Amino acid sequence: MGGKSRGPLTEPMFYVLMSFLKRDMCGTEITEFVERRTGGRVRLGPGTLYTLLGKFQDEKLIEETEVDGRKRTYHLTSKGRSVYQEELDRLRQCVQDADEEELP
Amino acid sequence: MKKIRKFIPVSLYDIPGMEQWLEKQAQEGLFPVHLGSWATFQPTAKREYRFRLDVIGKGKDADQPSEEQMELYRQAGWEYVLSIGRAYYLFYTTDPSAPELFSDCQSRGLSLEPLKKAQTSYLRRKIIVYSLVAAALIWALFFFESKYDVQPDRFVRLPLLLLNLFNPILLLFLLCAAFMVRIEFRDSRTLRRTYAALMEGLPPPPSPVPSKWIVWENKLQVALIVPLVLFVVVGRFDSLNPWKEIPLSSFHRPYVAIQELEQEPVLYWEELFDDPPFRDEPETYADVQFSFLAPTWYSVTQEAYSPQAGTQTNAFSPDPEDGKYRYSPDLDMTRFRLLIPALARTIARAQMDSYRLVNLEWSYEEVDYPGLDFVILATTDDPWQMAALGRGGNVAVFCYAGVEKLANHLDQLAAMVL
Repeated sequence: MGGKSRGPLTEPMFYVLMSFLKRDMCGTEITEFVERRTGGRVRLGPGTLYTLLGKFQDEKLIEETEVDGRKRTYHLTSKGRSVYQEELDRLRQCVQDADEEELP
Repeated sequence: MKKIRKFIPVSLYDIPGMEQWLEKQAQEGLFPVHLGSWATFQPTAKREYRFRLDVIGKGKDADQPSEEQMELYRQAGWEYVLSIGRAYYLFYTTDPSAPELFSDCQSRGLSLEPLKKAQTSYLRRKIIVYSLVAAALIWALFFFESKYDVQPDRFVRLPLLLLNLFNPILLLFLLCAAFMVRIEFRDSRTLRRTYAALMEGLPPPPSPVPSKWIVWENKLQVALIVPLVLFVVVGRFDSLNPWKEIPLSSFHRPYVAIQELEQEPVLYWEELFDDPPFRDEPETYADVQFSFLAPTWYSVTQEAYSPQAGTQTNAFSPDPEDGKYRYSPDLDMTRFRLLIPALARTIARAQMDSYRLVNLEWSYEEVDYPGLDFVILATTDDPWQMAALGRGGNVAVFCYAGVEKLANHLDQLAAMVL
């Protein structure tokens, strides 16, 4: 699935990709990041996270960089960064559209 | 510790239904230790458990989740219990504050993709295999033509196929296959509906649990499979085994003995020679078959030998050719008692066709015989002859190679159907 054909990201997908922007992350760190970033509004279930990590790996949006016992660390690929950027642009456009059509 | 087994009253593809049923069992003090064709539980303290099924991803170990997955789930308060075939891992938690395994519907939907793909591919493969088998059968029945067959008739043997279709083992097999296919298609529909709902961000469709019908389905599957395995694998039921060759010495149903047909004395191989027959299979034996349309259906195959050897010591022929060969006539007989007498003539013709030596030109004629519905005689230029006699649902078909004329022995043959 390419960036242009994949359609909008779900909220958990968007935040999981966001978690890799500044550094490589392992599963637990991603969960903590998303919870902290959203002020507890988005709590990733472990099944959700594990499914998304598998899917992003299949789509080559992230890649495994380190295996340390039970801990696996992942890195955002340039394709992943571009998918994230596209979604961010889409969301910005949504917000801009909404701002221009302010509620009465 | 005592284990308790139960039939599972939900489809394995009804994920929420399965989870609810396991939670109900746990409330009654039963914790799952094995889930397959049936569920095995061990007693546990009655408490609130949450069970969740998680699809085993493509290329993952079916025995247990990866260490990474196990650790992620454990940190969120979930413990691995067991795997269900190659489809799911089962996790549980007793912590009410543990987050759901899947925090949104779409990600749960995505997790089902490997299972959905595997099931679609399995069903597709199955349809292809069934279609190929059906196509091969249709080809063999209606389009196959042997280059040696000088009088092909593609339809004449179909009545025998009808009898075979009503063989209890085949019926049981077809019943099992139809039953399994029905369950597989229903499971596939359940999975597709669940997937579609989740991917649209909706909860899975509600399931009617527990379902007594699914319990009965499971019981019926076992009830059908057990006798099928007994019939086919163990093969103890000789009378239902079409391949069983019974020695004539222990066969007590009526048949025309080849010695009664011959003017000159003939003997079975064992009576004449000490050595075993030169072929591995017995030459003289009976086969018993069964069809619900033909409760009596058996064949007797006989080969006999003249005590007088030919000039060529090891050559045998139904036609002695001036003493060159040892005279060795053959007599095959198949007898039916049909539940539907209207089938008698077509079954007789079908059996004659299955006896027919395909490279010979056969002439058929009907003759009258008092008390019989029909007598069909078939002859060739060779010593081979056939006769089919019928009265009501009783049919006897003979195939003979020797110096006698079957037409001269109708009294003996008619005794099989009168």
